[in-house]
Amino acid sequence: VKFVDEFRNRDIAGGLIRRIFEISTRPVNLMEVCGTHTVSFFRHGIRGMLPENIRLLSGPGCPVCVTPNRDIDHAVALSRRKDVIVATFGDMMRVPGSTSSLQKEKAEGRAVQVVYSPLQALRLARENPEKKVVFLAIGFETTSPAVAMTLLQAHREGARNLYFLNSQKRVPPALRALLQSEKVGVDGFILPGHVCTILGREPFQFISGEFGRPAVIAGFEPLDLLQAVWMLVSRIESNEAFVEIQYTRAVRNEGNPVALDKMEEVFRPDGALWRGLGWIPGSGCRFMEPFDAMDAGRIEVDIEPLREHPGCLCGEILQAVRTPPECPLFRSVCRPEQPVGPCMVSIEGACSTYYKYQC
Amino acid sequence: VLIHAGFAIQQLDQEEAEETIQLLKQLVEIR
Repeated sequence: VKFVDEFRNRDIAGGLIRRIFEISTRPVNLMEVCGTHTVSFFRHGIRGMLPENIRLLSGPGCPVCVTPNRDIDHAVALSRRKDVIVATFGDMMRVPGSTSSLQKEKAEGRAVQVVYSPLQALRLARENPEKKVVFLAIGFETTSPAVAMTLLQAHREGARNLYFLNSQKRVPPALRALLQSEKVGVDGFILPGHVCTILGREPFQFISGEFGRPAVIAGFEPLDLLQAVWMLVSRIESNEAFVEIQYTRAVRNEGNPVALDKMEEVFRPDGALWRGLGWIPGSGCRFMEPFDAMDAGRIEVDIEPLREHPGCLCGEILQAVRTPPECPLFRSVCRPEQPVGPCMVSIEGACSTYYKYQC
Repeated sequence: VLIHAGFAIQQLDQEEAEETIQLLKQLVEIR
């Protein structure tokens, strides 16, 4: 398959690993921001092939994981209304809120539907004109254009029964918050190729410009990851900091202008609550005024009092302050078939990945 | 194309892909 097999070439991978060993002289912490990268590092066994002085930290780039309990409780409360159908991506079904989850609610007979695209939620709204269809909009800038396009289409059609429970997040402000918090020392960032396909390079320039750290926008195949590590280690060893693109086959400097235009038409930046990272200014997406009527926040519900599981360390794991095996619940109480926190639910969550790949 | 949440978000650039592979081969000295 073009673009896949070529980027899994064993000989080139071996050569890249040798090059990394040759240039690496000091301990470095590299953060793979995105859950897809975390999975790829584990799945291809790359972590075990790198020099011991290179430490890989999993960052906050799993949208399911960073969605706070408050938003899950809100979705649960909406699902309890008889006139509402909740439409959600499958990963969100099993994420526990304070006392319930969408999966539990569905088992109780509530109308909760798994969809693969926000457009399916629009179709549900057309097919069920007597119901309010609420799409649980989670995701980063990779998903936001799809939500924006659906919202615009619904608006054009004059759909009156489609709503969005908006929990979308923006990645750059979260990275700024991480760097400002100084809770964890990150020497270089592996940036998510798919998010940067939309955003381009510019929104991440502050990482090198203001914080003096190098960053590489990387693809998801083994050679992409190894090249990104090599690029970062080269920069760190030379005391240089730039934001560079490794994933040149997909990412342009300017990003995807069409997608950016649609996002700008529909959303404006707003503060947002992240699990683990707390309230981050400018890290959320608020609807522009013409689309306010589609905000599910307008539907009246009683949301239960917030309750966090006292032993769950997802919040600290998302900041890379702790690793999954350091959580007392990991493998004992919290397992993929019975998750306590979202990082064990999502296939891109750090806990789920450690559970699956680390013996 | 790269597809996410039911939408094509980017078309992959074959020339860039081939260039990257060539660059990596040169870097690790594979002919």
